[in-house]
Amino acid sequence: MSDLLVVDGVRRVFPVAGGTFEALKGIDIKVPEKSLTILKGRSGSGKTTLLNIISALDYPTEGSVTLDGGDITKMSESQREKIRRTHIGYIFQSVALIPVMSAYENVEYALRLANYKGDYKERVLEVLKMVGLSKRVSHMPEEMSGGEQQRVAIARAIAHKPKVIFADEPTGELDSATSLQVIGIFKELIKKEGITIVMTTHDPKIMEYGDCVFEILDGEIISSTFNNEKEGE
Amino acid sequence: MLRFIIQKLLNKKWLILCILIGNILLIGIACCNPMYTKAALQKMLTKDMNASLEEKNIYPGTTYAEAKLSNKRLQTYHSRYFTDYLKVNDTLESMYEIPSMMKIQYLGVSNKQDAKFEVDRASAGSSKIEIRVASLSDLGDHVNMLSGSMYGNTINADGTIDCVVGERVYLDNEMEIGEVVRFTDYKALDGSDIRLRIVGVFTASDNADAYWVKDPLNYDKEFFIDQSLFISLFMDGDNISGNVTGKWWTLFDYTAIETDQVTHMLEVDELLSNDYASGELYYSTSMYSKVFEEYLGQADKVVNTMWILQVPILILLCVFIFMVSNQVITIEASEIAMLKSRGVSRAQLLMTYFIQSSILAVIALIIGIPIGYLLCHVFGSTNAFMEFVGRRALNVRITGTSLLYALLAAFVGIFFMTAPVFTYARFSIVEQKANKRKKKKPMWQRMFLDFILLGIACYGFYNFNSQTDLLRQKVAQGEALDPMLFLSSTLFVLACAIVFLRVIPMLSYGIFRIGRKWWKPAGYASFLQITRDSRKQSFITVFLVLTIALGIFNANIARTINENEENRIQYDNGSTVILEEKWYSNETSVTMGYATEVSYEEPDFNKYKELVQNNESVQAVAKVLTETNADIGAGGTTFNNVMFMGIRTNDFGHSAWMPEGYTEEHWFNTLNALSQVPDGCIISRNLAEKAELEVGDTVSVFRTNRVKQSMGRQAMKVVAIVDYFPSYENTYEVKTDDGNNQMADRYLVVANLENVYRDFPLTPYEVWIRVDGSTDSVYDWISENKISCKTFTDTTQDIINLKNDPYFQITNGMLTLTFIVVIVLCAIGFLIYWITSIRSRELIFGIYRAMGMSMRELIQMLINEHLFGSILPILFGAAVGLLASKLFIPLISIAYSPSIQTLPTQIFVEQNDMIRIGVVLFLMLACCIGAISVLLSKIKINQALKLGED
Repeated sequence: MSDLLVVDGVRRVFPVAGGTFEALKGIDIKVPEKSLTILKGRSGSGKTTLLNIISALDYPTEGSVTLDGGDITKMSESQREKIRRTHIGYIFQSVALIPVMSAYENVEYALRLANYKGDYKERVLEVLKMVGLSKRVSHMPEEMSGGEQQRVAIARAIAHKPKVIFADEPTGELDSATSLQVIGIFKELIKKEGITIVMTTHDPKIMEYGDCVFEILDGEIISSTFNNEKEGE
Repeated sequence: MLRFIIQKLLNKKWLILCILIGNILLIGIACCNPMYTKAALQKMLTKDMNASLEEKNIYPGTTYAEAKLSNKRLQTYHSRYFTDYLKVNDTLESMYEIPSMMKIQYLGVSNKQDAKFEVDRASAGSSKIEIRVASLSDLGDHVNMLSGSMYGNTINADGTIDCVVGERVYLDNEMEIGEVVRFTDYKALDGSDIRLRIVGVFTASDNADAYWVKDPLNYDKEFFIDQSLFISLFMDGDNISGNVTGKWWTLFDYTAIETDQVTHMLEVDELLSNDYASGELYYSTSMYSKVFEEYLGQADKVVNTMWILQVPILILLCVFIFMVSNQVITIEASEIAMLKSRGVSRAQLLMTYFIQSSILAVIALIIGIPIGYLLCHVFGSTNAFMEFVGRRALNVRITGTSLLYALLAAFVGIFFMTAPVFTYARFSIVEQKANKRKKKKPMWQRMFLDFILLGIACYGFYNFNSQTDLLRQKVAQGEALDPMLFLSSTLFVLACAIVFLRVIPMLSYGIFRIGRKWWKPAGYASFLQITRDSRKQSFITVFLVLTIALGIFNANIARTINENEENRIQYDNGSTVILEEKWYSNETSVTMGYATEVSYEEPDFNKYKELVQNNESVQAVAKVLTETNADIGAGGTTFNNVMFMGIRTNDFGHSAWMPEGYTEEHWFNTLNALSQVPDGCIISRNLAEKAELEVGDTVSVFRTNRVKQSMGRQAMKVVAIVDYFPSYENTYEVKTDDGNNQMADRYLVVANLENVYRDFPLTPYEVWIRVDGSTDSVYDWISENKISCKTFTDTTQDIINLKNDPYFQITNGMLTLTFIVVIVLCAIGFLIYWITSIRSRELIFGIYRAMGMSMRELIQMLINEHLFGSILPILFGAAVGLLASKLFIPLISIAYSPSIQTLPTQIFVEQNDMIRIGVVLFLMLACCIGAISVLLSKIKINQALKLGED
């Protein structure tokens, strides 16, 4: 199995009052293809900073990030935008649907942005069915529960068939039953759509579902766990 | 508490600043009303008084009382005037309650009948002349001695009394200095003879001296002696020798008379004339009463107009304050709800907001009053809509009334700032959250308030439109603009703007649906934003529509009123400068009967032709014969009241001023028709209709010369029938037997001047001079060439007077101010909307960016929103503005037209105005977009997204 994402010596320094703060102190990780990779750590550990950098939302101060064979840290903003549109899907902690769009439109919008070649309607309904929201197609975000909204966000993230999905605390605001449901959907997607998912969490219960788990503390990887059964597949 | 409130204010400094601006404007405009009207009225009053001074050459601040003083009268009338008859001036002064500038007391002896006495003269010549012994207070300070010297204040050793006389007495009676005259039948109190020795002849030291209310030449019988001497000779308390006439002039400095003293002064005048009627005073009159009465009528009109024009802005400002306060409170809603759940009472909450509003009101008062002061100066310098000139500044003062108005406005402001809290203070946090989910249409939409308002406005229009005659009548009686009419027009614009709110989401959704398949992601998102979130934009939409519509409407009102009035002045006068030189003639000989035929000597006309050649600003001159006393015979009937004109068509065409758009055919065609038929004539439509004349018919013109002799008749062929012709007024006012004014037709006949002079004797004509720009050079030329004019009219001066008329100035100023205020509010509203909208959508922008939308696309999306959210309201606003202009301006302009309407009112839509509004608006939008772009570029995706973390 090849590595979709290779992070090499990534450092990130923020200027703060009276000096600098080193959020990431040289991170090296490899994320295998079609895996559920979990970045674990307490808040302030630097996991979201890392996620932002590897998902082409932020630049590292030092180091390189190779996504699908290309170093995204060396790319121009417009190249990164293109990658974000087509290769990447995002899921955020607080549900981040576009409030003026219905569930259907939110998903369809991702297809529009990615300039998806194929029938929009078919794909939208397909992914909404995948997350179990076939009956909520025309609902507006404010008319749905938090879990439902998060599922729309997942549908939106996968709609344009990205190679990788980055999810920042996707279960952070959900109760444990719903959280497990979301993880179930993730597992399902990896199997069905061949997607790679990188997510952050601090919830220990979820950890066991990850194929790779990297624990971050104060900007450093302190442990890496690979679930063997996964690798044996 | 206070610190908490101040902290709260600082937290939302931008919104609070907007509320503050709203309040400052509210207070400024409210308090500038009394300040400006006072200054404008003061100026008007002084101007009227100046005009009166110029016209009558009598100091206009003068009041005059006259009384006969005799023992018998003093016993009959125990009045305020005569308890001390030497202090009548002081009594008058205290009655008027104004310090006088000058008091003049005349005391003269007279007999009961004709106030003259016969005297013996020592010198030869006629031995008996009629004279009066008189005295004028402070005479010595106001005279120059032509010969001799001033009188002393004691009786001479030989018993004679020194006196001075005016030129007229001196010359009429062939007097000599040193001559002594003796009264034959009048004695001093002590019974002694009165012998006057003439020691000097005086004249006024300064002709412009207000002291000479009565010209020195008019003292044609008076021998003046020292006043204290006069008193000791003839008056001793209750004992008066014979009849003494007292005349008292009290002069008030008219430039210092305040507008609010006018009514009181008139009341005192009334009192004096009552005393005159009862016989207590012999006579009383004031030089200013007529001026004052006219002034009061005009002042009412000015004050009313100011109010009427101001009310829409004040309402708009209140709405603005309410809306922004509402916005602030919406943001604070959860805070309020939280406080409520923690047991803070409703009263406490309201108190917090009341204190907060009061702080703002106090700041607004401090800034608003000087702003109001500045606004007054802006008013004073408006010349037309959004046009300013450096006019002599008004004497604006901050008065007690203006402070009171400012205070009232501040309270109104506090009310509108606090009002939105009432709704929010009702809900606790639970209800608050529940309310958030409900998506009800706003109250006014559910109540159909927009359509109701529109209905009221339309009813108002319908009502006024069906009563235009009544409206015209009221204006003729001196009433100002009908407040309901102006309000209806504003209501119409406002109602249209609100109705538009209902339409715009449907409209944008329609457009969205049509292009759904093809919209690029940016366009797609922006359309959904506009369609689904239109409520947040409603405030700015309404203000955009209002700005454009009111801008256009106001510009058109101002333009229409100004242009129509200018057109009328120019049309009525005929050209820029109209003069008639003094022609040498034997008119007097004819009236005296020395000659039978009047003949005139024509002054040289070539000098005018040279003027055209030598002076670049003078474009053309023409000889124009104008008479209003001709008669016309047609079909056996004679028509009086004919204005007869003789012209040279080519010269006339170049010099006369005929505004375009009133006639179907260009008036040059009419002139051409006349030029081709030497004995042809142009007649007016009303004559053609009355006499059933058509082109080709023949009429007879009967003329009468200036000494009322018939000049004979001439037959002319009708070549054209016109409605309007330069300087022709088709109606005029006549007094009927019962004293009312009535309009009567005036007819017009225009003939070729050459033809007229061939058959009729030469009579004086006018010279019409068409000048481009300033007429100063013409004045110079006239004085250089020593041309003496019988009549002279300068149209540019008339137009300047029009522009200086407070009624027009207030209208122009107010309309301009409304527009500026609306623009300011619109710009502020626009910024508030966009900044809050962007702030609240930062997270969503982050999502868009994360999903791969580029910065360019994001800005593209916002510009799309902008275009749709702004362009549509702008277009709609323009349509509403034009529609309102079409409907209401003909009605509104009635209030500004004179009672004799020579030209019908036209609506003027000046392209420049539209461009000006466009430019102002464009600048506003550009500034806003600039500010928004800066704000947007500061948003970092990862930071925006982090907003979602907490």
